[in-house]
Amino acid sequence: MTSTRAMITKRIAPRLLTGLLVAWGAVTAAFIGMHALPGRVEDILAGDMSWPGLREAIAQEWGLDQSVWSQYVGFIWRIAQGDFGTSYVMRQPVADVIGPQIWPTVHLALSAGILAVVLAVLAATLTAGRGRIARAAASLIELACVSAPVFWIGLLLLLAFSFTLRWFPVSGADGWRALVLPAVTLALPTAGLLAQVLREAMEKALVQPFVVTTRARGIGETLLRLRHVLRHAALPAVTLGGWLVGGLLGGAVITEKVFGRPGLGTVTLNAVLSQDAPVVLAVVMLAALIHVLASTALDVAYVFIDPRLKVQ
Amino acid sequence: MSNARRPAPLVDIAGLTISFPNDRGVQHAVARNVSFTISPGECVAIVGESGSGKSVTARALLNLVGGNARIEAERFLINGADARAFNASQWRRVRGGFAGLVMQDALTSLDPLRTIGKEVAEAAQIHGLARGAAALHTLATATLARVGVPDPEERARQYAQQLSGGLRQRALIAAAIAGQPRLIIADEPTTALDASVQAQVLSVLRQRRDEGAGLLLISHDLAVVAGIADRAMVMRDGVVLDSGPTQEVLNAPRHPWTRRLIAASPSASTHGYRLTRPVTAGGANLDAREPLPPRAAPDLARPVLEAHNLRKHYRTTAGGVFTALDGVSFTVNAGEVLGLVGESGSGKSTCAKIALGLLEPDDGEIHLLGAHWTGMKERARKHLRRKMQYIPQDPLSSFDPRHTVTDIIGENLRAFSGMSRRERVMDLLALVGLDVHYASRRPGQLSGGQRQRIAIARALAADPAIIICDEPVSALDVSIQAQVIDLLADLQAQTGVALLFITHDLGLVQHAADRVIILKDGRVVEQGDARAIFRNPSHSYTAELVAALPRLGFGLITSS
Repeated sequence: MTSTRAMITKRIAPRLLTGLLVAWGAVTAAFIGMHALPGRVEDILAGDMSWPGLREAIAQEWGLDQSVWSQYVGFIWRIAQGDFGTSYVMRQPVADVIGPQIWPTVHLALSAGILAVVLAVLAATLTAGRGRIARAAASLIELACVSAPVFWIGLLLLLAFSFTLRWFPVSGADGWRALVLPAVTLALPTAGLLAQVLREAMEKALVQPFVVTTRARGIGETLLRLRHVLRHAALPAVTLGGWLVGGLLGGAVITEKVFGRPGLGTVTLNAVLSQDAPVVLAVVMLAALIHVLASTALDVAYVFIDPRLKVQ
Repeated sequence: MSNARRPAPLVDIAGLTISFPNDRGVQHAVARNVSFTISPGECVAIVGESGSGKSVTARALLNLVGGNARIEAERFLINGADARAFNASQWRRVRGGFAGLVMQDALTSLDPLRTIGKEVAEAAQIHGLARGAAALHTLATATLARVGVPDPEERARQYAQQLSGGLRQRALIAAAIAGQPRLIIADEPTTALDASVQAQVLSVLRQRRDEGAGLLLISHDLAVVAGIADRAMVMRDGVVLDSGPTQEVLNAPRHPWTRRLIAASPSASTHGYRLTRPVTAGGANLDAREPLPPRAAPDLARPVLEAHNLRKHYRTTAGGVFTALDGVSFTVNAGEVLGLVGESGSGKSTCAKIALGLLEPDDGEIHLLGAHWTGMKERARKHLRRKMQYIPQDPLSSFDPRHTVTDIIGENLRAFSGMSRRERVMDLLALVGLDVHYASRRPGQLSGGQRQRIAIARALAADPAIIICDEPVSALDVSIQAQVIDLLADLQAQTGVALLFITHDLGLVQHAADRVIILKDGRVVEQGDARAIFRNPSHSYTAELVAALPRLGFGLITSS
């Protein structure tokens, strides 16, 4: 018999370690990128700013007079402590530039993620293995959602619900009303893809022998799908999860722009335009970190959804 | 069960016809005009091969035949009520509440993501017999205990894949009876189980019946049916050919098909005779057995395959050591058929892999035709490879699906080229009883029996000294199995090739083998003459095997 402890050491610990390794790799890649760019590191970090003593201050802060190796160690050490340096364009610590902008984006991505899962589960549960027309209609809608660009969906929704019906504000981030359209915009492509994967997996599960046995116990169709089939279908969907988190983050940047919402998207865009290298670097590393966190969390979730992994 | 005051039947069906629409929308009947009743405390069996309509008939009692099936009947009474008028919720009350379903292979028939306890309790929960997690758990453990699962508290918390095959099948029965159904429908409940486990599962079902439950048993295995059923029906192509009290149906079968089916079951008494009958046979000589062609006696001075003291250990994931083989030695002589018998986990497959040189033993060695075989470089044994051929249980997975039959058999005809290779393939096809036009077929277009014939042709193409047959017929229907076994016997007599016959089927080994080796837990417990050893077992394990074997003890089986 396997204990929870054995499961942690065998399944979860290696995944956490891998996650840490990937995060370290991302930070290292950022460091190498900074040094590999043409031009002096001071100039890259300064962006288009220039004032007396700026280059010296940068050299001082990043330890540019030291060996590359000790610069690297110092860089890792500062990142590990959450110190992403100073934005010379904004004249404030990078953490202060990004920090307040994280929450609106997380808020948006999280609502969109939850919405996408709910929509996908509903669509898949209602249509899997059902009549040809229902499935064809659902597939068509999902295909449209997956294929349409985020900004286009956003503009259509704005046109319909904000300009014409005036149900929701056009832009801003005040209250839940302002969140509805951006969240729907961001959720639709993800929901479409997830629904397709879920339905296919549910249809595969529905022809398994255990479904016959379960039906032979007198179970209702809804309970059968929710209690038995959905869980089997969740396994391939969870595998996709890490990738979808990336899609949500990327989509969030565009969605924020379309709806004029504050968030990481706006910060990143501004930083790129003003060549604010420290902020761009920090965003890159943050994105990598979120990715790592999400995939690690999903890997661990996998073990809990599928008891077969626990007991083998 | 034929007293004058019969209890009202649980199921009373007359003129049941089940049909499915084909691609063009035309109804195609898979069961026609089937009539039967099942009373409390009675076991009715439906016997048939794949496609006979036996399973679909059983599923019709639960209305679980499939979405677009059309079910018609003159009379379709379930518990006295007309089931033709049942709506969805009435059917749900029948399922699990009135009738429980036990299927083959509990590994896939129990939800692998849920604990045994939850699966067992589900029917009771759905039908409102118990409420709340604690009550359901108590009910689950009590039901597991009723079907003889030891340590039910522990088992209820485990998952299907953690249980052995026998325990799993009993858990599946527990899940079927947890809703207190008065009828149990068991669809091939013991297929693919070892004989001893099969005996346990059958005794659990028999006990339910003795307690008053009705039992509908679906099986392809006449011996299983003989041991438990009060009445039996023989189905073929959707039609009931024979029905009546089991003793009558099996002892004095009215229909020729039933006779052929019974004759096709291999046993000690069929040794030396064909299992198949000439199709044209009719009337008086139908029960006469045709002897197999004479064959040369095994040449005990010419060993083909010698295994000395084979040992093999596997490391388990739990950190322990599993001993698959613990000092196994045997010899297969020229022209000899050696049976290697054992239940799952006995090490017989490991033996086959080592003999084929696919697995290196930890200790011990194998000689092929007197030459070193184990521990040799593949280059060194390449020239001997063709002398040892292999027939797997499932040849489909050993065929490249894109290859034609010619390509598959041609693999072993490297020495021939062009026209002569084609001619050889045609000869081999004729040898295994297949028409020439099969040469261009691909594996997916062949039936199970045809695939096994191709596997035999491929093996023979290499002109081997020995063929290792690993459960070569266990996935086939009885009548097809009989054809393949007869074919193997014919070809063995013709070519004098030695056979290492690996099987769990004691009847088959007594029919086909000269000598037999019985493996248990990686050790040889007994070896000797294939029939004498089971008549007078000297080891207690052999005696247990013989005792667990369901048998057809009828006059018809003995050779005439």
